[in-house]
Amino acid sequence: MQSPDNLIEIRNLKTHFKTDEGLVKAVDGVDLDVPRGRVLCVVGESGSGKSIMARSIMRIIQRPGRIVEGTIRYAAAAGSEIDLAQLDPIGSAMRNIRGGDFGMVFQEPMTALSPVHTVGDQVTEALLLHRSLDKKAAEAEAAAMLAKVGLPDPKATLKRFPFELSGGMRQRVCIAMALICRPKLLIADEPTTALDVTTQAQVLDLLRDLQAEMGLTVLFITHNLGVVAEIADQVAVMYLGRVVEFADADTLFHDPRHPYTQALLRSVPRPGLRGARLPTVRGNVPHPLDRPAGCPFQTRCDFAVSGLCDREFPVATQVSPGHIVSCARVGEFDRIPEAAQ
Amino acid sequence: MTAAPLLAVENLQMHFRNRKGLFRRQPPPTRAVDDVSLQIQPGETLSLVGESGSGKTTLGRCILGVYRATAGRITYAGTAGEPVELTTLGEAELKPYRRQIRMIFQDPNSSLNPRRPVVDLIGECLEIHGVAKGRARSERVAELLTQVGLRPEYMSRYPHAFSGGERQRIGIARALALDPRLVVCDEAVSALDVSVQAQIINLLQDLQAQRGLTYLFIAHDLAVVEHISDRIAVMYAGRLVEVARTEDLFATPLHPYTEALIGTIPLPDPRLRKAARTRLGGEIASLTNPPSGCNFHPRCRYATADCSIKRPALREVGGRQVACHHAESLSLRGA
Amino acid sequence: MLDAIPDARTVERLKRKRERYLAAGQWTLIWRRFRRHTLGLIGGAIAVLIYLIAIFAEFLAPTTLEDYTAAYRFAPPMPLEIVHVGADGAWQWGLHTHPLVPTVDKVKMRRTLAPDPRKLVPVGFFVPGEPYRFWGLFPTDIHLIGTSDPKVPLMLLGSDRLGRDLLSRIIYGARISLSIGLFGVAISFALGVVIGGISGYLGGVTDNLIQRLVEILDSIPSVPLWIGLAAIIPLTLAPELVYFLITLILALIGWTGLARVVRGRFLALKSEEFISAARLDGASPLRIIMHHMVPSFMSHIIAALSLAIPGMILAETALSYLGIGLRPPVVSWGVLLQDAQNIRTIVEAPWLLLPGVAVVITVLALNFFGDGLRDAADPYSS
Repeated sequence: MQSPDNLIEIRNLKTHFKTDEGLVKAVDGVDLDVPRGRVLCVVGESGSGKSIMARSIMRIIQRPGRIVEGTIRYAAAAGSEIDLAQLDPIGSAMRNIRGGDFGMVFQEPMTALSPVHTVGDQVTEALLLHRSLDKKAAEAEAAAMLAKVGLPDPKATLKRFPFELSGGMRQRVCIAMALICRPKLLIADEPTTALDVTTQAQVLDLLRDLQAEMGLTVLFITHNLGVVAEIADQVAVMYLGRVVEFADADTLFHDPRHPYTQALLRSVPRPGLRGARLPTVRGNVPHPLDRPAGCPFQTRCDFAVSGLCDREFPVATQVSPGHIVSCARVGEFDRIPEAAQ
Repeated sequence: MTAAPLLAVENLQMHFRNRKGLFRRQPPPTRAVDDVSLQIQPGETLSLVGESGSGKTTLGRCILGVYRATAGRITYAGTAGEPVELTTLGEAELKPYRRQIRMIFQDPNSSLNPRRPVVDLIGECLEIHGVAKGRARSERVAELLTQVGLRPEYMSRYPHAFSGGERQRIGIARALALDPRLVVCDEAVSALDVSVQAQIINLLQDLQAQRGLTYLFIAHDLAVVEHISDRIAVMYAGRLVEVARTEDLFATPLHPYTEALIGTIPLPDPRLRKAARTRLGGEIASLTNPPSGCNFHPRCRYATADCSIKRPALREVGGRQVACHHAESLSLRGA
Repeated sequence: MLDAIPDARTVERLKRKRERYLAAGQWTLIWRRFRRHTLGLIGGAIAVLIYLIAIFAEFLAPTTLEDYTAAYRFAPPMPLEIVHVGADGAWQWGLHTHPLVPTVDKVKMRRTLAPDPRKLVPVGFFVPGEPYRFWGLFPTDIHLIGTSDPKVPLMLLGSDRLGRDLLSRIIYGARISLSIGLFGVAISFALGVVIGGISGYLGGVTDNLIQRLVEILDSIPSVPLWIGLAAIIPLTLAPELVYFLITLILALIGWTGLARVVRGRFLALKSEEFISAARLDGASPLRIIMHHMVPSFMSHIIAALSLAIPGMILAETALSYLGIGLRPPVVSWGVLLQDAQNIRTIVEAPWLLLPGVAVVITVLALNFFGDGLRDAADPYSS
């Protein structure tokens, strides 16, 4: 591992899907450090590969997708590290890590929960698998966890079925399931997107509190920049399978250096801009089978220079400590100027 | 008062019956829309805001005639000038009004039949209403595609050939095909990526300016709503709680629920991070068994004993409308 | 003024293959998915082959349906050889067979027929043989394969108790067995789609009533029901009429499965947003059904149909085998199997069970095909 502060270090990760229409390079060379004990938000739109990357870490990518290259180094215990990309995804080593060390919360709480098992069954399952507890002790711990995630009357909730709960409550159950074994890493894949705004606020607060209390490392995937601003310590921006910018939250919002990040921030409606035209990113995200050579953003970038941007993917440059940008022109300006509209 | 509204909703009720089998007592109905009165002025963008269960989608569909309201009236100022009570019309009589009031759906994936090419999807309504057939239809579809920013050659393609944003543009073209006056946008941008959302919002605004459209914009994202609306109507659990001009609503909300909603807008700036403060606790009120009196009172920080007894009516306060017993005395925090 | 028109460069860069995918309608996509299902392809190919055999039956069969050779009763399958080693060691090339002569089987203590190795009868293709009328239309006498000696019949699968060539009868029987499958399924299809469609589209009380009717029909044991209905058919009725009535009986009981599939699809489709959109466009219910719903479930129906045909074939075979279905001179595989009811017959002439093999192959082929089609039927699910 390059730094003891990192829980996971991803280098050159490539996850490709062989479909009827061609080879889809969903994740195509991602370098990312997940620092311990902080909240890292991965932001991107459809096709950015953020979900696939998270599932690659958990090794739950199904056929026709597979990890074709790269390493996912995980600092398992003091001094030892494992490359998750090399493990057999259904072998016992990975299964122990998944559920024991890593927890995951998905976007749709209704489909993530089994409709035919009670809440208690589902929350205690991970406990019974990864720790040798008897059923009563497991249920006690499950009830404690449900209380911690803010569910009223935990003992009664253990006996209920998911369809009896509201969306927000189900998502809290999913969070409880993910955290019950006190994992080191929590991966949350758009956990609040399917929820109402008031519930979303509650769940975000909950995640922040739990993270602080349990010292969790959180990898939070979202497309909502507002949510990122609320919860992130650090942010990685992904576009078409690659990380284009990495910075801590304040820097990203106030000093973005990659044209895509800039454009994304500008296109979010915010109070005070009423009635004006929203600046947009021109064009559409290219179809994954039509990846441009070189920098994937060049087809929509106002600063793209032919001959420079269409050769190779730009090298990641550190513009200041902890702020890494992959843009061929990043060295030319102190800040990339606002594009003329 | 303002000029005659384009569409007026009066005391509208939409109750869904819940059947529980032959031998059990009939459970109470789901009060999806519970005595709502609202007016849409011509040329404006009125946003209908609320969370799940607020009734905003149901209200939109009642206006379109997808659901038959269980009580109340919907009056539409037809092009002839004479207002028409849509609620009294049968299916056949409603058909000409279907040209004037159209809908843009939320999910571009499920609202376009994947088995038909784009020209049929957009052109079907032209055929049905006898506007254009055959070659004339194709020409009209080509025109519409250009107006929404797509190449006309694409009309022989199928929906799976397009991205989410492009499919939404097809949906917009379909809605505009018959030159409507009122367009109901049912969460039209909620399922889109951020950058695409911005494009579609701009497109909707351009089209409104070009064609003099009136929008009923149903959404849950207050940031988008603030950008695009002239007036905003806030709904909670089937009831209207506040209606006001956008600037007024955001500067000084008069209803505690509006205040809570504004408080949840995540702003894209970490420095404005909202420490755990006015978070709204509890769950959304049940639609089958609503709380007595004001249905928001169990979650309201300012509730008094009165609030659980008497349901507040939507009344005029300072040029706006709000349904709260304490509207005059509360000073709530805006954006 | 309007932004985001995809630029020309991007469009030109699309490969032709992707362009075909983008403009591909549902049947192209279904074919693509089906292509990957090996068993389905094999099943489909075999099924097509068998139907072709049924169509060209008269030409493909070595002889006609009722032609018999008295000397060749209960004849075992005749060998077909390419090279013959003569007594002098010389090799003779050419497709040929040996005539059968009566011999005594000393092990089983019976008289049987066995090939005479000393005599050779050349076998050729496109040889003249028994005259026939192709589909009853134009007369000819050319058969695909046959011997050059009119006194020696070519019985590649043996013969029955009257000396009739089994292979020819199996080929002719294919025509009857397979066509009953098709016609029966066509009637079931019409009934199933209409009744299932009404049930699914209208919903409510109508749906309830129709579904209960379906359940009642389904709960009646099918074999006794067939037997009961078939027994009503008078013995003296013309064979063609019997054929028609049997088809009708099978179809009238078999439509329920299809009705269920159609109803299920209608119910699922009713709540789709694009159906709401069509309604808001002003489409009448008929237009919605024909333009929007039917294309959506067509592929499922075809998959269900291809799985229903084997059921019909098996049902007819069973009825005819029991003697209450078709009767000679209308010959189907089931009728042929009647000869194999007797244990003694099976022991002495086991090749008489071969029509059963034909049934098995056909049913398997159609099942694999239907399976593959069902998996491919919805190309829009991810």
